[in-house]
Amino acid sequence: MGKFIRFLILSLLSLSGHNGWTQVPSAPMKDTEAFRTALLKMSSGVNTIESDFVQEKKLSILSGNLISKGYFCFRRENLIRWEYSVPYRYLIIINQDKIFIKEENNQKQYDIQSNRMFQEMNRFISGCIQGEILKNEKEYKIRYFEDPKSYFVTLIPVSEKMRQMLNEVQIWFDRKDLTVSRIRMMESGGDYTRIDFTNKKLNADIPLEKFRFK
Amino acid sequence: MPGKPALIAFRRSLACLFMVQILLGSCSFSAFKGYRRDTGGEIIKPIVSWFRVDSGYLMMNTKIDLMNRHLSGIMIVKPLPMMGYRTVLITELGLKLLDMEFYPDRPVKVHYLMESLNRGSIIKTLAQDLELMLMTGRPYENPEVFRDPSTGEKVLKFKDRGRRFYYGIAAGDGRASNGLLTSGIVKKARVDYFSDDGLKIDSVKISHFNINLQLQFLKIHEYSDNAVE
Repeated sequence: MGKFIRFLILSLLSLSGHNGWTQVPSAPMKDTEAFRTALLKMSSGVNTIESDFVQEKKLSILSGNLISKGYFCFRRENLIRWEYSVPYRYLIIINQDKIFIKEENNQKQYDIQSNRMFQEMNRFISGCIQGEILKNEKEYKIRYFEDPKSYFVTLIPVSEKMRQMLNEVQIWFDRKDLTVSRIRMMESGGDYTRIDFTNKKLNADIPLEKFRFK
Repeated sequence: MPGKPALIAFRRSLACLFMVQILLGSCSFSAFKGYRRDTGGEIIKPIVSWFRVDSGYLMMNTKIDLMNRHLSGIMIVKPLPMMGYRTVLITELGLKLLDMEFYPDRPVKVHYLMESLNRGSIIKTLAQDLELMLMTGRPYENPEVFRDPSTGEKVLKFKDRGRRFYYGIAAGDGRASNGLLTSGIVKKARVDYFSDDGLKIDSVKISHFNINLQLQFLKIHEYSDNAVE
């Protein structure tokens, strides 16, 4: 009986690890310097990234999580396209210092300078994807972990102001090619946003057309 | 040539005239022209808020324009028991900007506000705008009724802690088509509701009379049934 209960508890624990609160690598990274060097070398050779994504938003006021899916692409320098297709169609294009947002019949375009929040988010997300954010040790306390599948980095904002908005940022890097496979932004109160990147292609030919506002 | 004191007095009177013009232009007595007080003693049914939905919550594409500053994101409006609402605004990429709770009989509760929005005047204005939109300014107490004799359309006036909420109701319809918030005789903000079928809200626009502030909300149409409460 005791064995059965132990088995049941272990099974439940392993199941809960796969639902929402995904298991995170907890072993400290053995050679952080080698990882950082390899990451910077890899990202300097990457001109385009395209990928599908699944975004999960946990909000304490809702019993279920908001899950959206879509297509993401990036092209140096600073061209980003987020194309949400499920459950709503929503397009965000960042082209240098301009943002274009389109939803159904409504579209808007403005200077990224006029939306400080978006400017910061853009800097932050593209920094995460390219690994540039790991250079920013003044703004974040950075810790490195690993497991057989991933390199895992946590960033805790140094500034109290920033921490009120983002408690911690977690980035999973695929061990095979050092691309970002997951980002999780933890907010105060347990809410979080998790973005999983799948079907990644590096240096594919992404036409500039994809980043034009129509 | 007028002397310096005369010039200063002239400038002051110009400034006064300008202020009076602004005040007159925004006075509430001109809010609903042609409407007359209805003393017929009709029993008024409570207004049905556009945001009391069966689906558990509403997601609205949100755009806030203040002068030359813009803020955009997705507003989640969740109805609560006792005619309350919880509103959470997140950026397009998921980060939370504000989280507020509204009840008709309680002050607004701020659960979270992004640091750059966390200023008294911004909180007050945003809270009042959302109260106007959600109709939580005591809309279930006895209103004064005004009616347009030519169309039969009526306006309900609710008083709430020094403020007045007016809601225009189309004839034969329990839903508001627009609303107005005043403080004393000064018009503060106007809300317009838009719906294609008259049953579900499609978009909302809030504009201010005395500051260059506009809020726009567009319902996000979901294409598959996930993330349901």
